[in-house]
Amino acid sequence: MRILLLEDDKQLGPWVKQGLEEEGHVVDLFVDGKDALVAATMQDYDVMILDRMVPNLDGLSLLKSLRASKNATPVIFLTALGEVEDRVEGLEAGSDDYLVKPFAFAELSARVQAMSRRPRASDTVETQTSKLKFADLELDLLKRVCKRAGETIDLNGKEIQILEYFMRRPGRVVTRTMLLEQVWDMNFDPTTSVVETHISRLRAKIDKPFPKELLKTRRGIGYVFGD
Amino acid sequence: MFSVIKGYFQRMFRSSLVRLTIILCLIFTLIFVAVSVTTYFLVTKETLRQIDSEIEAGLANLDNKEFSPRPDYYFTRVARFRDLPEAFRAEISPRDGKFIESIDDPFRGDWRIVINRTGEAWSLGAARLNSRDDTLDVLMQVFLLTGGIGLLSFFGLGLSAARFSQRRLDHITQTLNDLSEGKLKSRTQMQGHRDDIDVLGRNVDKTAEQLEILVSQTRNLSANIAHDLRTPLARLRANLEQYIAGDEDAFERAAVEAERMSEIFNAIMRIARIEAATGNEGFEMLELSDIAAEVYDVFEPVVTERGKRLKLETLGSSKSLLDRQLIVQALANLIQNAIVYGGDNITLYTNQNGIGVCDDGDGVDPENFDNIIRPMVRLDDTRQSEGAGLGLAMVRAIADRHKARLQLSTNEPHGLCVSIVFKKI
Repeated sequence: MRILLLEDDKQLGPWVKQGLEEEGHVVDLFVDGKDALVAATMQDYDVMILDRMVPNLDGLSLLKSLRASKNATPVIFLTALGEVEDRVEGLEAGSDDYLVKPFAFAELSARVQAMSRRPRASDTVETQTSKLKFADLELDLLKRVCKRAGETIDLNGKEIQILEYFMRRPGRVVTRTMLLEQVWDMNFDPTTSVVETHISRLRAKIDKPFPKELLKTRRGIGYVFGD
Repeated sequence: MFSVIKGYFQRMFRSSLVRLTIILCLIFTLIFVAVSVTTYFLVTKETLRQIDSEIEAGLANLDNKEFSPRPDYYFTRVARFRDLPEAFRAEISPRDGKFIESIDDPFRGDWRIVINRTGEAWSLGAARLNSRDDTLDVLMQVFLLTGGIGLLSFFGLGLSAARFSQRRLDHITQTLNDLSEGKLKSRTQMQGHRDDIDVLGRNVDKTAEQLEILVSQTRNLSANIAHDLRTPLARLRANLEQYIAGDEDAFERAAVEAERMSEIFNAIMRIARIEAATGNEGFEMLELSDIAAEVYDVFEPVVTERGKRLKLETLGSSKSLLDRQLIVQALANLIQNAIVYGGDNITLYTNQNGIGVCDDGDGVDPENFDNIIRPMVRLDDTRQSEGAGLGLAMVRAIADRHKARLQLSTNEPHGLCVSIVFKKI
């Protein structure tokens, strides 16, 4: 993937660039908002990661002018401004995700992955699918039935929701925070091991009785469904 | 010397009460002058009318032998104009018919005269105006005296009342000055008059008190932040040094410490944000039992995992205007606290006006109730356990945000109950 990274911090910028490059992306790092805007209009990027407070042109204005010129490239804001209003402001300006500093690189990486494979507006048909299938695991969202290797597995509402979230993102890293935000609608850290507990319950049902493990833990990062 | 006096008057005149007194005195004077002039005018007119009718009556009775004019009245009838008494003749000119005139003669006195010419005869009636003038003089003197005394006493009383009030206002100003200079202990201590200035003073005191509490809270908070962040920071540093020295595992421990610091910081910032938030954004009408059920679904497995039991008790429910995220967070914090400090059984309950969590642990001494809801206060015997001591402080901030009351009580026979009691809508 080709990624535009706008980050003026002398340590953070190269760190993120290097990390993403190690994952096989091509990263253009900018420390100046104006340069980034010029590059964004000249080139097609798959994902843009923007810091909000940078010299010359701040990330928010940059995003607004991009969206005004019908540029729909997915954008992740990376910022020290963590207030709810800032978050809302960023999302309203057209950003797709928001990550507050300090952040773990794994979190950013997972979000970049999620962003890149997010279905574009044109192919929403896929998200509408009510029957999901991966290997020998099937999930019927309408009948609320889950089967693995032909055996029916009894899942409660929340477990179906979690499984659906994973099955729509096979092979992608899903972090704890992403699950909290998307499945539980919690924009805060509940300090208790909510995610871990629910995942281990889900795993006990869909993975334990079967030879092949589908839901894997990536230590210190999150979870991956499938491979 | 001059500048001192000038300064004094400037200060005096700055007082709104002194200004009010002066304005009222001016209005009083104006009204009084208007009343005096009107009275003078009316009295003059009325006495002249009486005198005129007296003269008319005298003239009509001129032929009556019995008629003797009252003192100060003079009547005569002559054939020719020049036979009239000279004093009158000099002042008037002969005219036909009847005419009335006033003669103001400083030497011989003022007269009101009526002359009636019938054919060749002139009949004249005159009244001396001295007694009337005396009456008017007395009237005016009375007016001036009462007006003057009234005005002076009014002005004097007004000024002294103004000065008295001004002294109290100055006292409040002085207190505010002290407060702005950082003497947060200073108070007006106004009482005993039960007037608006007292109310103002008491409100200033209340504000000062709140300010003092807030400042001391902030000081406490910063001291506690320094303390609670310093420990993980020290550990982070130690871990990094161990890593440099060759201990590979220390690296992961360092990452954990960094994560922890970040969490503590987020919690502090979140509390600050909740406390600073205003307005109703994010609030919606929600059923308390629905939130409790949702929280139960999320946390029941978590509690079970820790080898404890979570029970949902719906003793009642009501709709309230809530921020769902915040209430869920508050309950999450309470459940987390119950897991760490409580016994084996945790109860999540709602009733008619609130929502809360009870545990059956050792509980907290009611004397410490006020303490544990302050940010970063951790009772000494818990300082070793995990957490940053921000849980209950956040719950309190969330309760405050909902204008709800945070109620701590002892669970019978032992344990702690913490509930958020909403105001009735």
